[in-house]
Amino acid sequence: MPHVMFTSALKTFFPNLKEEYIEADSIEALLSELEKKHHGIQGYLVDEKGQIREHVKFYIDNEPYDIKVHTELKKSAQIHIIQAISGG
Amino acid sequence: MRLAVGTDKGLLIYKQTEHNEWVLADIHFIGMPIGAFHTDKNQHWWVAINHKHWGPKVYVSANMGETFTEVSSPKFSTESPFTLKSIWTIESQNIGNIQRLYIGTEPAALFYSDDLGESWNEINGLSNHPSRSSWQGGGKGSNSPFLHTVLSSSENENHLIVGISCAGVFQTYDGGITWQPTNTGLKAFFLPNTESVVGHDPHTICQSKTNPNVLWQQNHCGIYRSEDLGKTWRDVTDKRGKAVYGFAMAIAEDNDSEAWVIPAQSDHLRIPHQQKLAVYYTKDAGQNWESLENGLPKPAFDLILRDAMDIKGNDLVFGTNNGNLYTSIDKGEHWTTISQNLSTVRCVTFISE
Repeated sequence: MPHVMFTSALKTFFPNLKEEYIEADSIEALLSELEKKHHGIQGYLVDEKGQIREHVKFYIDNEPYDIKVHTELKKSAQIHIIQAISGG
Repeated sequence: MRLAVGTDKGLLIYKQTEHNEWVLADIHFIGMPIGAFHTDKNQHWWVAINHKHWGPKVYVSANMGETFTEVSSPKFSTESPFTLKSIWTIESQNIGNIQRLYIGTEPAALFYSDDLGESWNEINGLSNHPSRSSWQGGGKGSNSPFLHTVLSSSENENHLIVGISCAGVFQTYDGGITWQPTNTGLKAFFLPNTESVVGHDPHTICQSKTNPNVLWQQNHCGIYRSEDLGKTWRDVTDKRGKAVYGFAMAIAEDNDSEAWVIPAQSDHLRIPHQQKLAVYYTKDAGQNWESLENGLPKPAFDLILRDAMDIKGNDLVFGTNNGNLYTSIDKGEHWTTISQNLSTVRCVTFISE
């Protein structure tokens, strides 16, 4: 099951957030599962068009997420959700 | 009385002592950039946070800041070419038993909520205005126009006035279905046609409480006043060339001829004239402007942003982009420093108790 970890900055808004294993075969599915567990979190990570926000970064197995490459999440995937340095 | 100061690093609440001193009482949303602050008629506080990472968010407090609850944020529809970048203003209007909330955004759009922020509706008549393609970005570094001012009418709930930079002043009399630009008399020196119907930069617009037909605006190209609810504007810029360019403006609550602005030397410098921080005041509807600088520093390199000045009775307050905060209890005759160590001040609001 993919293992997802979060920047501690998100805990300001979602105090119960902690790293966890989530059944998901794509980033889209992962976002959907996260929203079920942490109501509202999707709006922090993606905009209203579903695009990952400009200054939020997803890493998969330590590589930046690229929708063209990472079409499917492996069961062993490690996902880091990070606030990008570019956002200040 | 309390004072809410929205900065790039949090919302500060000051309380006024019986000796008219302002004491810091609370800091909310520490480290977060405040986009807008509004108190509604029920004394609920509405706050917009323009997170750089997480997107714009909206909060409400029903207990004067003891606790805040996040409500939903406006969203452009999937068909819209726009995505929400930031929130510039929050306003409210009482319609019968309903309290309608408005939010002005970048890209320029007006959203309303009739369920206290649970859901928001975009006013498409404005977003899809036939002149939209001619609207330009309005702030330094901004590549999209934004809606920063909303004025609602107590007489006619279907009448709204908005200010968009750079597009101008627009009004609706049918609740937002149709909008008319009302920029007659304004000049836009940054356009080939300086008297263009659309394309103006009304930095801020104020409406008289005693005579709602009187509007003032601190525009990119000077100071203007209207006595016919914005149908026509008259140039009341300081003839000596001092009170011309600026962002913030306050008008007296009980006299539609009194106004205060805090000018910069020029658009390209954006610092006070000769580096002397000064507020300019008119008591004769803009025929004459005098500087009020007693207690204000020199040298100073401050710019006062569009929502960073407020008035309540004889009390005035303004905050600056350099984190300085000044107040006066005598309509600007004398100024006192509250703080010189804040982050950029975006908005200030007096709160009656």
